[in-house]
Amino acid sequence: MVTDVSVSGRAMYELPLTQRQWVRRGELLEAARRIFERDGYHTATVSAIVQAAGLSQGAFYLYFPDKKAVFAALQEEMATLLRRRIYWATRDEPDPARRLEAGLKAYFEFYDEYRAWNHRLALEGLGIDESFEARQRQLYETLAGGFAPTLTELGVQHPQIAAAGLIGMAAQVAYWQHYQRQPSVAMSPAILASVCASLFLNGAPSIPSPSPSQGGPHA
Amino acid sequence: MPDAKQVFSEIENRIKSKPEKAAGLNATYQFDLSGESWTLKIADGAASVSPGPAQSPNTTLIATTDDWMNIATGKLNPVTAFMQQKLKVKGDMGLAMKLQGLLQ
Repeated sequence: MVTDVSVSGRAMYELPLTQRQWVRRGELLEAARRIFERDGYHTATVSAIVQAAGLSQGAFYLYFPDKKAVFAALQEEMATLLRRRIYWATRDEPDPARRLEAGLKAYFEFYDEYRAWNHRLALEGLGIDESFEARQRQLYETLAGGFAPTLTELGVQHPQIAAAGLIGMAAQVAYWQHYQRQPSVAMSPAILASVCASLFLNGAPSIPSPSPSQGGPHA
Repeated sequence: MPDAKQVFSEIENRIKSKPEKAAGLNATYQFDLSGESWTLKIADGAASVSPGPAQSPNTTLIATTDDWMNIATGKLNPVTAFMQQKLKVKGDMGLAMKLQGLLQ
């Protein structure tokens, strides 16, 4: 049993065909991510993106029709990275409880590594338009669908509902960890995963008390 | 952390279970990873993986084993890896880019 978060039947983008075009598109995506993270979607401009990429405005429009398209491409790219991470983190774990924790750890590691991007998505992603919301909803549904068989193995009733709750909890805890927690003593992804798995499977009284060095409640 | 053999087997299995992922794709990929080579042949929606170099690959991807594993498992963006020269491509670039879809 694995946490299958793959997507089938997805139409591939019209990809550039030369190395130079691939690099240019990659440079634009990297620059766009930095600008979106810094300025937010609504304030970011194509001019700022091409300036950050060191390319001309014309070069941008060879690869993307507008700002919305480059944001969408980034959203897809980041979702792919997250799906792959969770899949490979859980693939070979036979024990369902440890598999659940491994999947959550991969989620928190991803959130930690791309915290600025995830922050922007949390703040703005759902308020941009329906297509952004649909992509984010599809990602959450894919992740929840991936965790559902593990929850079934664990004897959870209504695994689809439970999996949706699990993903919602993980997203909220990740946001809290990075943007709401005071004082800002970082908990590692492993600790967050352990706490969340315990909370989810056994209830709040079962949450282990981490040591102060682990960023626990007494830190 | 899986090893390279597991990653290639996974690609092979995914194409077997979802042949639409490789529909219309006929290609031979060679992977040169830190001194070891692997061959991935895709034809008519079927895939086969074998250790060792290909006779006449359409595309050769060159990376360290660690970087390749990071790409395959979502820890390294393939485009970023390419821009940082952690991933090099010889041959048909379009086929290399189609590989991204097979890793999803």
